[in-house]
Amino acid sequence: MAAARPTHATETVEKPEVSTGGTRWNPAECQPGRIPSQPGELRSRPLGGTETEPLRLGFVVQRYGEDVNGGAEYHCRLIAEHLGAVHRVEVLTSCAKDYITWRNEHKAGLVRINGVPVRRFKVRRPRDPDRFGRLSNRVFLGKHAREEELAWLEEQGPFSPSLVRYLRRRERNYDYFLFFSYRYYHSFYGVQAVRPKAILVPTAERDEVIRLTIFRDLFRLPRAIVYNSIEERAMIWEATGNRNVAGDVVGVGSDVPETTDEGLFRDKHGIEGPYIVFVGRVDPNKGCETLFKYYRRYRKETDSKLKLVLVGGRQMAIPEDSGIYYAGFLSEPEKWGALVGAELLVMPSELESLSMVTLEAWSVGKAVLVNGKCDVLKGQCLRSDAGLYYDNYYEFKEALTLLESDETLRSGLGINGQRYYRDHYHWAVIEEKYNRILRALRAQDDAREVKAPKKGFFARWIG
Amino acid sequence: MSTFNAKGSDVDVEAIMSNIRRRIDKKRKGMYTEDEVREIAEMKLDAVLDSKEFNSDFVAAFLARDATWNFSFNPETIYASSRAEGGGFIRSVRRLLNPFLKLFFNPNPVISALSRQTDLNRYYIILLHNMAEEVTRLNLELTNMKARLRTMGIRVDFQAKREKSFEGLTTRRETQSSSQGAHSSSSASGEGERGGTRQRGGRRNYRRRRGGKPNEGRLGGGSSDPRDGNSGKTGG
Repeated sequence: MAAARPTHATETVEKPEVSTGGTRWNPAECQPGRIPSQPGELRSRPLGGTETEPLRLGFVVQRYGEDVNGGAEYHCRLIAEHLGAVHRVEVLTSCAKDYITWRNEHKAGLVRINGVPVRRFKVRRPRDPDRFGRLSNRVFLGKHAREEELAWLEEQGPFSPSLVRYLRRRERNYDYFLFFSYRYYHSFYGVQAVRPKAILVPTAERDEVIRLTIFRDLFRLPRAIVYNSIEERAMIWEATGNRNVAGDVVGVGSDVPETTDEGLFRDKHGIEGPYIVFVGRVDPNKGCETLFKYYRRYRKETDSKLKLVLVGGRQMAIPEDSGIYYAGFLSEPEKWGALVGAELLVMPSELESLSMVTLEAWSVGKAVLVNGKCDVLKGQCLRSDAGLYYDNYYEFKEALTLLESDETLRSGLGINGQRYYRDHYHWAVIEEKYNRILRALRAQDDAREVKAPKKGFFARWIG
Repeated sequence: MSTFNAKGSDVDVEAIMSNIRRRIDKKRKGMYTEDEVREIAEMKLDAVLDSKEFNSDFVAAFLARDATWNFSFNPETIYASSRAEGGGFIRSVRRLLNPFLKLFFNPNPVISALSRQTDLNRYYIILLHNMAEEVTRLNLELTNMKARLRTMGIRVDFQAKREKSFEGLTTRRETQSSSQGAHSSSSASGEGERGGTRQRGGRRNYRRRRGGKPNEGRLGGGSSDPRDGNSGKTGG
């Protein structure tokens, strides 16, 4: 997942409202059920109307914190902070900060981040990169046994048996557990440990990990699955055959500011003229290498004046080019300024379960140009009519030429994107979807409790 | 400062994308698509490698039957025995004697190197396959470029000849008009008229002698001027 990292978060949860041409948009008017119902989708039975009773929720995630750099982790933090306004939320996570080594960098124990209690557990052993590499080769490149997959998972980390032990022991203290990212140790063993209370948020990408046999079973265990997109759900259904597990497509919202200042970014960085923006980790895995190649060729062939502005951390060398400007990490107001000032957002990543940056661009009415090889992004563009996509350079060139020259098209796409964001990814919609799932599970559990026979002969005889 | 306004918009992304693709197809008519190049590359690979019991999907075959193509090596291999009976016993004895073996030399680097080598073999095969594909792709592109260059060369030649014929035609017309002007100035005497008629008749006769039609020297039909060397070809 590509995510923009906010540098600030507040303790009080604000529900942003989007102005719709003079009239305020009412969150109650949103239609959370717009995505068509599918088999296995939760049918909620309201408990006392649509009121949601406060539940004790455990959020289980591989890393957590404002300084943690990762899409799924950021996703978890946003959901935890927003649901924390209604429910009693606690985050259970590891002491690691780095997702490659899983070294213990935080202290174990309870801390509070933006008002949310966070309980950290030690990682017993950091990742051995050599062993992990060897196991990855074995598991992904040839025939292998289930034991090797389990060994790979252990090395994948964060190897924290104490976290799983805690889940097993303190299961009764929580009503439900939400596990983020299926591919890590905590989700695989955690879901098994608290299966009747487990809700999985897979954040799955179309890669080879989903094909491992150990995960085929994992996706059939939880009570419910919260998908990020229709494409992600289709992929998981196809790979694991878990259609019978209840679930819904939800995603995540974004804290959109009421006003933005384009000048803040332009003045500070001295950017003049039109530009396209990429927000996220500048990394070959995110398609940046191809983006640079395509962009430079585009400029050469068309003599375009469009600049390419890069916002985010850097994991690769950026080519020396007068048209490419690397802005680095930006504060939230600057980042929004960069987004609003851009002609469009470009998202070259092939592997995305949900691009939060794309949603953020749509939230401020910006068109997007995405990699068509990523079925999630392409699907969203087609459903929203809010962005164009490319599969190769020729399509990139044609699409960008069209977007660069046609302002009406850009604004039309942006307006559609804004509407799509408001209907499906506004926080009010997201929270309602989560609450709907929780209400449905609660209703099922209540019904089960009533039907259960009383324990013991005398209890049954008297009762 | 800006606020966000949402209005309805009738943009159809699917229609725009199909339009874009149509335009690209039109522009790239006659050129290979990425998939076609890959397909051709694989076919070529077949032709080259069949004799060595390889085929185009040999990477897939290699990965599927790793043990047949590649040697397998893990830390236990050096103690293993191929004997069905007593193999376990031999392995245990070898393991027991391992500390003594370590007195003579350190087997760990050897084990590590061989383990790594099995992985490297896999990488090399994939790399070789990709390189063969890339070379074929470049070869095709080169052939395509050569063909385009040849076509363009022919077109340039044709244009040069056409230009020359135009020049010839213009010069002839100028000469003709100037000579006509001279004749009309002296048309008071009947001799002049006769002379002009004779000249036109002579020109017609000249053309008939060459076997051409009167209009053949006009645009696009090749020049009748023997100097320009164009024998009526319309070019590439």
